[in-house]
Amino acid sequence: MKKNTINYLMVLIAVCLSACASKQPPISAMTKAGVAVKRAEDAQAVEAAPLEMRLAREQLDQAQKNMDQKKYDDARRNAESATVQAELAESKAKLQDTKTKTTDAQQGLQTLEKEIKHSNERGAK
Amino acid sequence: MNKYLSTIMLSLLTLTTISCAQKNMALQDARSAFQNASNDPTVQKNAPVALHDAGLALKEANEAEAKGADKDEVSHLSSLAMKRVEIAKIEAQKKAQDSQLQEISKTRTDAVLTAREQEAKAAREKASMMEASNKQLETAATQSQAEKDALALKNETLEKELAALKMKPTARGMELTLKDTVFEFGKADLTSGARRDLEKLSQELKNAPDRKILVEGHTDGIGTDEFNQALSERRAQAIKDALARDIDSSRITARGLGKQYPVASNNTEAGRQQNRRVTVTVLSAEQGSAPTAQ
Repeated sequence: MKKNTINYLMVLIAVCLSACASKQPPISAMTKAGVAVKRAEDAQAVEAAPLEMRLAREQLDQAQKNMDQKKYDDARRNAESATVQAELAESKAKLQDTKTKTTDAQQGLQTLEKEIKHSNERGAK
Repeated sequence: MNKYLSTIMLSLLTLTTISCAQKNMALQDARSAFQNASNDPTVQKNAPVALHDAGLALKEANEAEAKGADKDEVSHLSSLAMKRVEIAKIEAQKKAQDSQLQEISKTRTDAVLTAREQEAKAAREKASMMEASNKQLETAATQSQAEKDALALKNETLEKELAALKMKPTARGMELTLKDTVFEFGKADLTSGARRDLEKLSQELKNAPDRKILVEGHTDGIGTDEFNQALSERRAQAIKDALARDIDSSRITARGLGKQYPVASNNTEAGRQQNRRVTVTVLSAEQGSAPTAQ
């Protein structure tokens, strides 16, 4: 009966270990997250997508804390979340940038068309 | 006691298994989001790589669930997939925006080109217009020179013909002096000889319709001013009437100047005869409109 109990405990520990914790620190995921956040910052995502940037940084900070506490599985999830958040922020920033450029170009075009019309009228006189 | 413990362990294990087998809501959301994005032709066309990445993320989540990974891990992977789908959608939007921007830039280039062409065309038109107007001016100048030449020739001819009528050139123009002998004695009627001379003159004047004629009557110094003034006016008028048979009377100005302008001494009969006269002056072209007394 006692042996049976030990067997159960062993199984439980094995399940817990495989499901909840990994032994290797997630170096690759941490690096990816750091790069993604940096890239997003370079793309002016702080202004264009402040919420996503904030979340990405929080996740990255959390990942670092979990690394320090050797909670590697949590650290990996945080790092992966930080990566997608940062990539999303970067995409949003680029979209915003293109939208701004489009608006500017449209206004520039309108001004140009007005000028051309004006100078044609002047020319006709 | 042991049995109690083992029961707890068993139920824990069962709970874990059940919770893992349960359909994960986050995964379901991710699947349907990915499905929507895949069915969107814009996303398919504009963000194929990002959509592919989202598909890989979803596959990972699905596999984790199939392997019976714990709920948190499946939820985590699902949320990653969800975010990847969102990224794909945004990249698709950006690509569409890029196309729009390119189109605007092309329109702009076209507009600038068209404007330059129009400017060049306008400049060419202006240049040719100026050329044409210069030509017109030149032509006009040539014409007016020709007209001047023709007029000068005409004037010259007229001067010659008037000279043939024994007219004398003066500062005001060609002048013909008619002595008092052209009048019948005591009347203002003209003798037939004088009438013929005047007829010739008026014929010549017909050919120069722009010339004005000044007819001035003069008398000798005998008699009152009033009498001489009236006599000189009547005689001048008689000459004007004779000329007016052939030419427009508005061209002719007749006036009496009495005895104010003697050409010889009034002390001798010969001198007085010279002073009794009527002059017909064909005013030169320059003086035509402003007859003045000499």
